[in-house]
Amino acid sequence: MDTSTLQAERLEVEDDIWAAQAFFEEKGWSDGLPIIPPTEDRVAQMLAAVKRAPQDVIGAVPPRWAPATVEKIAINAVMAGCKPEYMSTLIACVEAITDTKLNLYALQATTGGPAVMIIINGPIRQELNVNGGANVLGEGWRANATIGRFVRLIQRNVGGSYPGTTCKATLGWPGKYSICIGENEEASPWEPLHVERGFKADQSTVTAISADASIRASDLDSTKAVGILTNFAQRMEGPSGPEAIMVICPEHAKIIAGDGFSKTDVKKFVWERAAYRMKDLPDETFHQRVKRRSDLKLTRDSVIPVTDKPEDILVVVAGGDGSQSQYIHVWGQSTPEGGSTRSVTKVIRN
Amino acid sequence: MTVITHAFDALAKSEKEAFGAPDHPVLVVQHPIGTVKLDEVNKRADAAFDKLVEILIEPQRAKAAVA
Repeated sequence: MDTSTLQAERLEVEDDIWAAQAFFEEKGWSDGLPIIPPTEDRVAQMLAAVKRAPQDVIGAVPPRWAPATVEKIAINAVMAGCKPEYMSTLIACVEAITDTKLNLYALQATTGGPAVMIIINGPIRQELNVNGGANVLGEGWRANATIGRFVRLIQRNVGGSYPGTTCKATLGWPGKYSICIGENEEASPWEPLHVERGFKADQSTVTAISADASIRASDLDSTKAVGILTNFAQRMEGPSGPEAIMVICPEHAKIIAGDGFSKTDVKKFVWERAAYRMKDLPDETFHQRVKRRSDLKLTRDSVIPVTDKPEDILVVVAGGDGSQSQYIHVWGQSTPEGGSTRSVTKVIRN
Repeated sequence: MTVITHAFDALAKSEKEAFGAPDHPVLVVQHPIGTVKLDEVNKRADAAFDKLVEILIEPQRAKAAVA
């Protein structure tokens, strides 16, 4: 393609990989890991993979509220190590993270330090080799690793989110480098997340959601749904969030569904049990909680469920062999208005 | 106007620039607030009150004092 129309400043850097890394590090254009230098040729290859004009604006990225153009997306895609065939997925990711419902500004400004987790559904998982099986929350798959990393680089390089100044995470967590999973739809007894949200099974989507570090919900003892879900609910106890994510492994999902539980039943079961009990709190904390959620008219006998409504719990089947599920808390406040952040699902268009 | 703690000062400056409002008045108070006892918070609020009123009434004059 003709690269003369691209607007990014051209920078001359010594033709040496170490020099290039040093340059990007000095500029603050990396997450700390080495990047692939975004040369004109590489950026052009990314742009050639989509039928979009380089200057199309996909969204405004906080806290700088800078426009994420297709060109900027292509540049950061190269830097993250993405392949050109990921481009339409990356554009959908940017559509999702810049949707005002996600409230990306708050996710980055908070001391809470959540990651922006990406969940991929539909046939694109096979096309791009997105992992939804063994070690799904771990390393080993280029698509998962680099799509998740791309989302972080967009926040940093376009949005201007820098730890310590404009990103106020007290601790952060490793998911902030990259957290992107595919749903293991083939091993799921239930409808996948995107179908639950009104998309067709043969459509592909990305879902962006605020995510704190996960808690393992291991259960090798239970052979019945009530056992697995009671154990899972215990992992979910604590201060609530606007949503919650249950990543249920296929072995657990098979048992739960085999006992007749639909996704709706799963959500209702854990929602009724995963509670934050006001009677357990010291006086000072109790009174602060009462003030924070004055709409709930809390008393010492009250319990706050993990989310305001059972349907605010996301159930995603993922992972490989084993009886190891995980709970991912969603940073944010439950509020009478529906929460300070909400997950966003966008369709991937070729 | 906006009241923030000093830990968020750089973020506030970034936002002012992003929205093209470099003169937007900001009052910076000591960080943290969330884990500080109520009487200490009240003391800090009392100490900041005059400046806050000044910013509200005369934002242009207060701007230099706050910056």
